[in-house]
Amino acid sequence: MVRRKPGTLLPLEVAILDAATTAARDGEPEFHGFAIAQRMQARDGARRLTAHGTLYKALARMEADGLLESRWEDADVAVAEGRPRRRLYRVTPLGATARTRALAQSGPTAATPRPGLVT
Amino acid sequence: MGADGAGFARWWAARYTRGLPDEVGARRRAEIECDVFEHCQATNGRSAAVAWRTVRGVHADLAWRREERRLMQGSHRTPTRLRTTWSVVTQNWFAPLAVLVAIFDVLLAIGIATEKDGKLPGQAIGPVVLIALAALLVAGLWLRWRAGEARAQRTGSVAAAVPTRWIAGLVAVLVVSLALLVVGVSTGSLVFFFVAVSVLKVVVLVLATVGITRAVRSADPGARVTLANGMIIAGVLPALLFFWMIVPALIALAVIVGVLTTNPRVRPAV
Repeated sequence: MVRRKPGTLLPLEVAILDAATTAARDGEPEFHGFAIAQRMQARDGARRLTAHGTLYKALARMEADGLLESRWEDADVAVAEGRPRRRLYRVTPLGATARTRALAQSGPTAATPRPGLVT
Repeated sequence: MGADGAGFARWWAARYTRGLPDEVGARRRAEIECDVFEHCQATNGRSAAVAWRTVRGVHADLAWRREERRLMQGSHRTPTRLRTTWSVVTQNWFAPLAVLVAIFDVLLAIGIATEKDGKLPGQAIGPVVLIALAALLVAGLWLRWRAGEARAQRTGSVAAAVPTRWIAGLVAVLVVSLALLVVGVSTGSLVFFFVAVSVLKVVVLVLATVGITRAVRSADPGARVTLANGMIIAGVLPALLFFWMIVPALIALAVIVGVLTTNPRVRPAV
């Protein structure tokens, strides 16, 4: 199992924060699991979506660390669109700072797509 | 619409969330349900893709389950007042000693400021530095307390604050330094005093610098513990520098040992 050093982010966590930041710039400050998996797939040029277990474990860990915050979508919205309710995540100021720091530490290549950043 | 793959994902989510707290399991199952639905919509129901995505995450699901089970078992053990009190006492035993050192810093500052034969600028700068270090020490104690509380609520982690080999090495250095101080006192040798105090100062300064640097550079809220430790250690420096008073220096050493060998993260959330 991948372990991170205190105060550092795993590549998947950086990818999530980066994709979420890009989504926010595109006018979507909140995201749900599948949407962020799609964005990361496009960002990294990966063939596959991040696995369920890997993705939701990372989201839970990041929320516990204060990098993300989340809420349930309004049930009426989901019912109106005929789909299950989404858990909506948002990058916190701490998450934004951590992303900036991680990208600065790893250099400009960290912001570029990296194939294979799944599972 | 990918019934087999989606069904497998739902079945697996129901399996690995079984026995977890209701809200934890329900949230994960609801998120998987939503994800699978969106995935099927996006791929026109490619069943194999959903199933394969589930399979690839099995190890992470099981690791997450183990972590949740550990937290659940930990939370069942925490609520008693006796357990909470015991954790506070064992992990913060040095706090009263640290307060004594803070008082020592303040008294020393007053003594220097009111000294009749004192010379400027030392008589002005000295008390300011001492008061600042006393404030740093008290702030460090408060920060450590708050960081421990947040950490316990979050993970219930019982990991050591620093690696064991670091603690062992540091304790060895402190013991040797203390022995040199004792020899210096008993023989009146300035060489022993000089070596012991120099070693102590270097060790303490290095540790404080490393702790503050790590905390400042870290995105982990738990790093506040390290920052707090650095602040406390910096606050006891004056007592170490006045080693010939013996008692303050010994108390300061005890505080440093206490800071580095205890972990506020084991304090149960109240």
